[in-house]
Amino acid sequence: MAMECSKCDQPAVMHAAYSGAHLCETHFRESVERRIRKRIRTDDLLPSSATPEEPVTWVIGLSGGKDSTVLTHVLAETFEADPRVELVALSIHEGIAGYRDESLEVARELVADLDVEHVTVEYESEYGVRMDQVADADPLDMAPCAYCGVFRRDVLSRYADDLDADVLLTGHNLDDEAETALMNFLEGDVAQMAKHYDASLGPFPERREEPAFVPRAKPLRDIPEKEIALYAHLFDVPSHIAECPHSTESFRGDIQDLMLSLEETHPGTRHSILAGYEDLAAMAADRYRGETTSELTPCSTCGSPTTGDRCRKCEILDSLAD
Amino acid sequence: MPTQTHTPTNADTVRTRAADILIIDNALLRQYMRVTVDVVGEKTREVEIPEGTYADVLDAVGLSSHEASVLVEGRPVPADQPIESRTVTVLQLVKGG
Repeated sequence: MAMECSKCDQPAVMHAAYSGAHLCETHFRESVERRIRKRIRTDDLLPSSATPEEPVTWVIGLSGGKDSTVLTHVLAETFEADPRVELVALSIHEGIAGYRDESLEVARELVADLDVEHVTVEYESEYGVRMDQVADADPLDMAPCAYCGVFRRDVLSRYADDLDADVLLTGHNLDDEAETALMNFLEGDVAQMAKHYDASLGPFPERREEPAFVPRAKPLRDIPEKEIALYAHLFDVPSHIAECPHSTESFRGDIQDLMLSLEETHPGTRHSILAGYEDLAAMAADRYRGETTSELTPCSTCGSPTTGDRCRKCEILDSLAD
Repeated sequence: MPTQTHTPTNADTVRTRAADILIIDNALLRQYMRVTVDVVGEKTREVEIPEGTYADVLDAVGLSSHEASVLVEGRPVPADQPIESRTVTVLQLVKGG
């Protein structure tokens, strides 16, 4: 006899070891969507000041991977009839042959059925470079992800600003956030914890606002990665699951293995890591806010906010030109 | 889904492990079962595992419940459900770092 759902008599399709629940398709779907809505409320992403006359604009980073497509899908279904919210999906084409063309095709397939504006940005148009070329050249001896991350953050920030976004939403899931938490903790980087809290982890009312940047939030951060993937599979949400060919980060891979091994024998570890870390990061943020922070000044080349004369992106682009 | 009857121990297995009969309890022999696993995108293979759960099937093909689901007749099943089907599909849902 098939195992039954904890909430009804239908066959279960999954087991949440961290809670002990077995859920059928219907109750699994309800569970995922409820956690997303709850996170949106907890983080105060839809403030009482939002009105049909003055709606909030949420820009969603849409890579075509399962996390971003599930996020876009759920937000569109939940809020498309809500006149207080405007949704814009923002996709980035980094110029990685094969890989990114496929994932953006998935993104386009997704938004074709949704009432969501879709904007696509290419590194090649913005910077005149493609990631394949940057990775090959490796002008500053960094991991490919480090270059890509600099460009991505620049694009997301500028376009979020251009689109008049109130918040930038990304598809980071529970596994992603717990891994980041462990990495910051094990590296002993307390300042980075504080930044993480104010940049994207803390609920909006508790963060220190940095006017130069659009605030970020992660509505999927309570949901394990496997559940997001299962949701996409069960409810036919288009998603691209290949791995970036330039991906090489070994420390995060080791952290992931460690974390999943702990989760396997001690279900709920990921949740505990993240909950405890959030408290620690909040304390770190309180501590660091009291200290003098570097002044942000315009980059002498492009005008982006930076702590030095020139921003990181322009340094990279300049080194590529040599 | 009707419960499948347990397959009697294969005679060849008994013959090839004759030397072990003296020390291996019959009950233990009966607890092993052969499952045909179709890993989507890879070759179908047969795995022999102790009677257990679908998590043991995932483990036998080198995956964990954090990255893959077992499908029985196309429907995902909880990883902690005891094995009932001798033919299953494994779908890897999470890849890469």
